Amino acid sequence: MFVKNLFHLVKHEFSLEMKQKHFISSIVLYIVSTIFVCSLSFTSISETTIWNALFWIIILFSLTNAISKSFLNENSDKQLFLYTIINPRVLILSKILYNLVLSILLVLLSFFIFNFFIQSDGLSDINYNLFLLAVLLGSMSLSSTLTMVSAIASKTNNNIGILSILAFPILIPSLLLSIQFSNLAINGGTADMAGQFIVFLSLINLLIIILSFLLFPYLWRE
Amino acid sequence: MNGIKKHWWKALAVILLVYTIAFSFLVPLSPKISSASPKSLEIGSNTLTLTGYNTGFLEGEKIYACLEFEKKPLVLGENIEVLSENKIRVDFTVPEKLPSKVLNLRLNTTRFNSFAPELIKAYSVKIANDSSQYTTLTFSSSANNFDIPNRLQLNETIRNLMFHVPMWFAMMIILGISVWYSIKYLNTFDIKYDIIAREAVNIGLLFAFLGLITGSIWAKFTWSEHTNLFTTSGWWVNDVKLNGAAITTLIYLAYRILRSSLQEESQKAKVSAVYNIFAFVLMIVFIMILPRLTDSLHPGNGGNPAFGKYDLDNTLRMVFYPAVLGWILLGVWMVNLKKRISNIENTLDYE
Repeated sequence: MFVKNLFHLVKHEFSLEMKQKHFISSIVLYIVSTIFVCSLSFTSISETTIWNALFWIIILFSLTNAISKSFLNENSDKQLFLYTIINPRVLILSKILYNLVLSILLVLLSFFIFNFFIQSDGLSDINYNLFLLAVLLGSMSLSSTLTMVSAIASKTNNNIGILSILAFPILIPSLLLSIQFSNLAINGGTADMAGQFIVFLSLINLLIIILSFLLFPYLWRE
Repeated sequence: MNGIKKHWWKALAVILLVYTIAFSFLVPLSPKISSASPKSLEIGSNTLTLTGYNTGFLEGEKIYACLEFEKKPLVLGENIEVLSENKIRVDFTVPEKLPSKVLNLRLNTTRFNSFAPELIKAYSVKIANDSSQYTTLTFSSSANNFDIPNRLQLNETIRNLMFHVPMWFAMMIILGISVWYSIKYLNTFDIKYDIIAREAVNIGLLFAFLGLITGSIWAKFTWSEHTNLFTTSGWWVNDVKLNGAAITTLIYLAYRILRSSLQEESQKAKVSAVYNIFAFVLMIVFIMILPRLTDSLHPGNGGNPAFGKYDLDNTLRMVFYPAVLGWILLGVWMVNLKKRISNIENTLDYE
C-alpha cells in the first residue's frame, strides 16, 4: 500500500510537471543563461579547482530555484484533500524521490552545457565515471535537504529567501564533500581513493531521508 | 535550607568561574629563554647573551645551562653572569663532533627549569654518528614550578584557553538542551518546552559570538603575521573549525529569522522545532566528519575533531576542566532566567 501510494504520488508529480511545462523550461533557461553569463566572464578557466567550484555553485543555485517550488503548488484545498487520504510520510518520500530524479536530470544537463561553454585545460585526466558518481551523490543530498527545508520554508510567506538562508548553512557539509570528491575525480583519482567520500555522502543522504521521514508529519499537521 | 539544596549548582558556577578567572589572570607564565645572540656557535669557545621572559634572574644566583640533543646533555655553560632580570651571559665550549647541528637549550636555577627547543645552531660541527664520538654529561633538573606553560608562539595568549574553548563546549551543551526541548515539544505540543528551546538557542548564539570573538583575537596574535590591531587581516583564517563555527552561527541566526517570519504562535513553535532538530543533526555530522577529512590549524588534528592528548599539561588541566563546567553551568543558569522572564511576560500578556 505504502509503495503503491508512493509511486502513485511520484507519477502525479510528473504529470503535474508535464501540465505546467513553463516551470521546467524556466529552470532549464535559468541554467543555460547562468552558464552563459559565466562563460562570458571567464571564457576559459585554467585552474580546475575554480572550474569545479563554479560548477557546484551553479548547481546549488539552480537546484535551490527548482526545488523551492515543490511545496508551492499545494493550495490549501488540495492539501486538505491529501491530508485526509494519505500518510504524510508517503508524501515527503514522493517529493524527495521526484526532486531526486528532477535534480539528476538538471545536473546532467548543466554538466553538459557547462563543459560545452567553459573550457579548462586541466581537464585532460578527468575520471568521468567517478566525476559522474560525485555529481550524482552530491546532487542527491542537495535535493533531499532542499526538499525538506522547502517544506519548512513553505510555511512562511517569503519562500525563496527563507529557503536559501535556512538551507545553505546545512548544505555546506554535503557541498564541501561533493566539491572535494569531484576535485579528486578531475585530478584522475580512482574509485578506491574515493571510498570515504562515497561512504560519507551516502550516509548523509540516508540521514537526511530518515530525518525528513521522521519530522515531516509534524510539519504537515495543522 | 531548601533554597541551597535546590540552587547549589548556581553557587558552584560562581565559584568555578571566580577560580578560573583568578587563576588565568594571576598565575604567572613559566620562565623561558626566548632568544640567544649570536644564534649560531663556532667550534671552540663562544660567549652568548640569552634573553628570557619572566625569568627574574638574581645577582649571584646559581644558574646552570647546557646544550642538549634528544635529552642528552652535551655542552655545559660556564662563567654564567647575570646582566639583568631577563638577561644572562654564558660561555659554551663546543667540541668538533656533535650528534646534531641544531641543539636545545636547557637552563636550571633553584626556582625553575626552562627548556628552549632548537634554539642554538652549530653549523660548523661535524655530525657524530655513534655515541663513542661525543661525551654525554649529566645534568639534573630539580625545581618544581606551578605556573602556566610558556609555549612557543602562544606566549601569554595561552590564558585564552580558559575562555575560548569552554565557549564552544557550553554552546554545544546548550544547543543540545534546545534540541532536547524541541523534541519534547513535538511530542507534547506544550508551549513551555518551546520557550526553553527558543531561549536556549538565544543563549547558545551568545556563546557562539563570544567564542568567535575570543577565537578571532587569539588567531590574530598567534596564527597571523599582522599583529597590528588596526589592520583587517588576520582576524579570520580558512580553517575547518572556523567554518564549523560560522555554519553553526548561520544556522541559528536562520532559526531566529524563521521564527520571526511566522505569525501564529503554535505554528512558530512547531516549524522552528522541526528545523532545530533537522539542522542540529546535520551540524553534528559536519563537526564529526569534516575535521577527519581536512587538516586544521587547531590542536589535535589529522583525524581528531577534539583535543590532542598532549596539548594540556597538568597545571592547565586543573583550571581547564573547572572552567568548562563553570561556563556550562552559567549558560544553563542564563537559559533558566530567560525562560522565567518569558513566562512572566506571557502571563502579563494574558491579563
